[in-house]
Amino acid sequence: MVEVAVTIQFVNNVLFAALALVAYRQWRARRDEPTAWVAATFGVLAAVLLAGHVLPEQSSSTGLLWARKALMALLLLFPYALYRFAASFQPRHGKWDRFAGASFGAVLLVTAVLPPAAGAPGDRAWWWTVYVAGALAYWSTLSIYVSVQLWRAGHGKSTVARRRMRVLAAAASVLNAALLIAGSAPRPDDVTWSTVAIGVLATVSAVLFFMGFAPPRLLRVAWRRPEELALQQAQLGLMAATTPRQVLDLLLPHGMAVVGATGAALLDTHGRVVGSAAVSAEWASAHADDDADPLRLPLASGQLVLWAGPHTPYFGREELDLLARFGVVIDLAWVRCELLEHQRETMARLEEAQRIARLGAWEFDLSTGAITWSREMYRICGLEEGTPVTFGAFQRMVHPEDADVVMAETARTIEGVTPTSMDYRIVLPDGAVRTLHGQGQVVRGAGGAPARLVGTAHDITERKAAEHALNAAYEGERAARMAYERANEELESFVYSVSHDLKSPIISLLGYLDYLKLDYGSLLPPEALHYIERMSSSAGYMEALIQDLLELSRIGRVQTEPAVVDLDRVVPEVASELSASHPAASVHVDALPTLLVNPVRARQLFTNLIGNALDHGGRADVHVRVRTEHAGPDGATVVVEDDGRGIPPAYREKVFGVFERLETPDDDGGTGIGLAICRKVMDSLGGSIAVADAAQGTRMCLTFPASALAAAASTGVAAS
Amino acid sequence: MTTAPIRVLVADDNEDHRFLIVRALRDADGLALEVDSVEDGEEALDLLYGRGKFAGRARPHLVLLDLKMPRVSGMEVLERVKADPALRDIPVVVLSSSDRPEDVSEAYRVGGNSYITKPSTSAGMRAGVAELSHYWTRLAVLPDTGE
Repeated sequence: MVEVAVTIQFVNNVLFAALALVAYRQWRARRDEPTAWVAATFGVLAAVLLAGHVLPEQSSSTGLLWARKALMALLLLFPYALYRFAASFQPRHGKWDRFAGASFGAVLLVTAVLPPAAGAPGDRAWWWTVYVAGALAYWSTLSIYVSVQLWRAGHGKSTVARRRMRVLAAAASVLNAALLIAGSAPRPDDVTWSTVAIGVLATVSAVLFFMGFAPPRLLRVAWRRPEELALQQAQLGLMAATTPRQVLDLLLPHGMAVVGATGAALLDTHGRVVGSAAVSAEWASAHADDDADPLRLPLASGQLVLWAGPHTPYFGREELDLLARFGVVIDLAWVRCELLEHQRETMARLEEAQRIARLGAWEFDLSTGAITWSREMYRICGLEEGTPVTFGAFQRMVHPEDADVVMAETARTIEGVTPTSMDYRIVLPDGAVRTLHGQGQVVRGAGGAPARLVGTAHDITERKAAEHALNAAYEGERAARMAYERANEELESFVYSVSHDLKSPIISLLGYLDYLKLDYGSLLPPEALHYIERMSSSAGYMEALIQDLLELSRIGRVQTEPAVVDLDRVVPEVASELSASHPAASVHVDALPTLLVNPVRARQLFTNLIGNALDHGGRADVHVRVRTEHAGPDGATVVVEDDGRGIPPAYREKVFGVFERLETPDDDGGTGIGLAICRKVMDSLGGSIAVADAAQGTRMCLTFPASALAAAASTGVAAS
Repeated sequence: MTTAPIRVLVADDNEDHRFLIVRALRDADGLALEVDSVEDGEEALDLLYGRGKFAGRARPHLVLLDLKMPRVSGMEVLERVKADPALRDIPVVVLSSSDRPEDVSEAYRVGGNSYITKPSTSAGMRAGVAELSHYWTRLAVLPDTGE
């Protein structure tokens, strides 16, 4: 028994010394409050154990007594240090702190003033028992407090942290138990079963302390397995994630699980809360900047914040490394998902564009015969998206009338190099006929052989319909115009034939009237002669009217070749002819352009205009002037003006009407068709005639287009 | 030049026009003319061939021919006259109210010597007829009619 006890004692000494060493090294490495108290705790214990061996058992020397008291004090430091260790994770708990401090102080004091224990352990004085009981009570209270604290704090933590904390709690309890047994043992010096029990309990507690404060790597790995598994799951999930949302949904709960956090949140690069787990987003953004608590993991997408409790940095140190590894995977997944998202958006925009444009895309693999259609292509063809399509099926959709063209063009596309295009109709499953504008190009594989055809099909049914409608409208207009022109022609034809037929009886009438005057004029009374005169005049007017009507109708009907007409020659001739019957009037002709027109019409034009000026001027000595107002490559304007009566503004357009006259027929013998003929001549040349403003008299403006001018216009040539 | 009266044939279906033309011919001074007038193509041919009603009549020296006539049209008369070697050298002047280019070119094509559109005024008619008769009776050489 003794050997066993001694062995156990030796083992305990080694263990506790090792613990102290480990604790010291931890403190040296980290130098934070928890490690400091741990080092204090076990340093104290080891010192006590070692010193206990060194110091003799019983002695009465004063130095030894004080040494024993010092050792006692150190021993009593153990629970206090342990308490301070446990309390270092939490903000100060005022009540307990005071109690711990007070009780430690009290015990210390008592230890100092206590007289040495005399006599055998069995018959110590009562105060000794009280002292021991008090010390044990002090130790147990603090120890239980620490155990309970650590045990409860382990809840919800990562496995390693939890195990370590609970193991520590157990260790403290076991040591406490050992102490209690030691304290209540009657004869501690005798080696009995209780001694062995105490030793064993101490060993157990040492081992437990080791597991709690400095667990070996294998143990940590074993304990860490659930978190490792969780992490693997998360990684698998992240690799499969295709949207940033999925990444978020994986990283928060798994991040929490890895470090045993009570809440997690993801912040973006601006610090805004993007998502949170176990806590609300408002709470997260309020507490994100707490310096004390949260663990922060920087990510490509921002920052992962985990509220893991104060114990994690000490107990869960490796989990933080796991988390860092996790962070790398998250970043990869996040970047990938963002790329995918971007690509999805681009695809969606592309498809939207296709949809709006009613443009479908297709691909035809020439070797396998497989056809791939875009979503819009399916829609255009009235098929369910994803329906398998073969070339044969497509062929069957093509309108029978366009089938040959489509086949020929497809063959051409395969042979060719540049894209081809064609319009063709398809018949949809519901019977509707749509017109498509297809474009295609061959893609050649290695070696130059055609590999596949790619292209688009644009639904242009509406556009074609609009084109047809436009064409129909245009055709309708054209038909209307032709009908109008035909009606016009018929009218002209009618005027011509009526006028022509009227000529015969006019000839007879005029002839007989003349011979009546000639042969029998002398026999007739003056009144009879007057009647004959009136008849002749009317008949003469009729003749002039018919002549002019024939002219008017002929302008459109009879097309004669235009010739070069030098107005500088023609107009003076016309002027001198007309002047013969108006001796008092004067006609002045300036330089005039050379025209490319029908010579007869040109003559007619100026005969009418100058004749009008001379006849309707209102006085015998009217002065007429013909001049060029403008001549250039764009056309020419010739003006016939006189200083006669002028045309009132209200009539300036009316005078060009057929039969429109400003005076009674008596006065001038004009038929009222002259200006209508002039207008018709100008219209047929593509020019115009109008009455222009004039201070006095009449100014007729003739505008000849460039097409009516001879190539060599004679400007600046003096009039003859 | 002959001193015998010159025979002129006027063919026109319009009796008034016939009167006017014949009167104009007669009034044209300095000419001794014998004027016959017929009212259709049939009669014109009869006279030209000296048959039927006009059997034994000598050929005219000059023919003034209207185109629009019943039974046989003026164009047909013209064609026949100019196709017949015995008659083709008689000058035939078409005197028609038609001014259609197709009539004009057809008349010349079948051999008409001249085409004159009937003047509408009586002065014009008188002057025109006088001029043409002067031309054909004085300035041109009339064929020998074998008298």
